[in-house]
Amino acid sequence: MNEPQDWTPADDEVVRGALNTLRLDAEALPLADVRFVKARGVARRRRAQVVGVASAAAVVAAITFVGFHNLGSNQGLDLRPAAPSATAPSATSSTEPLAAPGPLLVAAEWQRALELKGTVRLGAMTSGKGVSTCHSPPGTQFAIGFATTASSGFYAVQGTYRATSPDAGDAAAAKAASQTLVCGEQSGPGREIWRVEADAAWPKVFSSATADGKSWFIVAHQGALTSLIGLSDPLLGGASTEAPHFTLAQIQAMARVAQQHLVQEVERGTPR
Amino acid sequence: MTRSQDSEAEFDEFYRWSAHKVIHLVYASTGDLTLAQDCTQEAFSRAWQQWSKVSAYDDPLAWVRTVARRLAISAWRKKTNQNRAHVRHGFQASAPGPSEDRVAVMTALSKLSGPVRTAVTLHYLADLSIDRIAHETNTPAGTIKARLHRGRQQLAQSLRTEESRHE
Repeated sequence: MNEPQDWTPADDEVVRGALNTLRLDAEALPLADVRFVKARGVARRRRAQVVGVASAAAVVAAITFVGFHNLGSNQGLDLRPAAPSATAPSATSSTEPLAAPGPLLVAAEWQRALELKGTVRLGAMTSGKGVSTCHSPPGTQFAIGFATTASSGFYAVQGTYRATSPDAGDAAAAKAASQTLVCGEQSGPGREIWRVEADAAWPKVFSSATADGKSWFIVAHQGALTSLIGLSDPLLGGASTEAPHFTLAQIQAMARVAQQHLVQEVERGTPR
Repeated sequence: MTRSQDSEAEFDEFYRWSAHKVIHLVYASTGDLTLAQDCTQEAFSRAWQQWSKVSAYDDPLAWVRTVARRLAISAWRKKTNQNRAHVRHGFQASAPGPSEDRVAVMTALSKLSGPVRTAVTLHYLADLSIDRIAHETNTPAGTIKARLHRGRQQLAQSLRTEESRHE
């Protein structure tokens, strides 16, 4: 190829040398830990898998988004209620004031309840996407969003839905809880091991052991409102045994906050 | 699905070996170090997501580089607040403030159009030939050649002007 006539090797050196000065800036930056980078990918994969489009709901291939990464593994799901019904927390047992009113948890509440490290980032999800492909929406979508901390691979989805009446809300919430069971049953041979204690109290907390830790699913309900939350233990790159795991107490605390939000929304006069 | 330890080790090595190169390239293309850092991380995380596929390519780095560059362009267009994204990754930039020569370089680069800057940085920082740049940017080779010509001419001129100011 012909080089332009007005170009000289000296020019070339000037440009190359100048651009190389920027290398010092780049190399002065500490590289993020490779585990964080991989966890970031894991969080996205979960988002893509879990936050199924409504049209995919018929497949009902696996439980919540957290159940997806267990598919294909040899480890059976051990889904069981996180706590016996007698000890299940109710909205009234929570004394923590809400950080902010609204149908969804705010960043500070995720952080405080789950004792998350790093900045919690919230994001809205586009209309038409549900919390999981497993559940039919328990009403009209009121609000839906995700919470994530890229540094630890934490990713949670929360959707709040409004039924046409409190009675319809009761039915929709009960259906959401039962769909959790159905999901387990339909998730494949050898996986029909979903269990849940019959419990009239809200919120309901479910858990499932996976290769990467525990997965959690919460159904909160008040009046015509039902909130579904799916999340899993934070990952630090694949099946790291060093990854922190949420405790039941943390999950229950988060579930109580979700319940409180619904109670407050109903009290505030959000259409019931 | 569990990845093999070999695969993990391979990716880890690939990341440590090449991440700074990608940051450097995106930094020079955008003039935004934070954006470069964030897009590079994102590109590597995407590579990890499909590592079995990406690692089989002739040049996995080209794949990461292209993804990082596209992310940066997209973020640039949306004018997203990358500082926020940077903070969420849990570490702060420790690079010192820009020195006079860096400012001069960034100023000179900022005078180039985006496509011209891309051609220049890919050529000088990634040592890519015109044909490879054409391939990575899906642009005719002749166009790349013209951009490269124009870019380095403008850059050299700007940088020499800056030099003479400080003499």
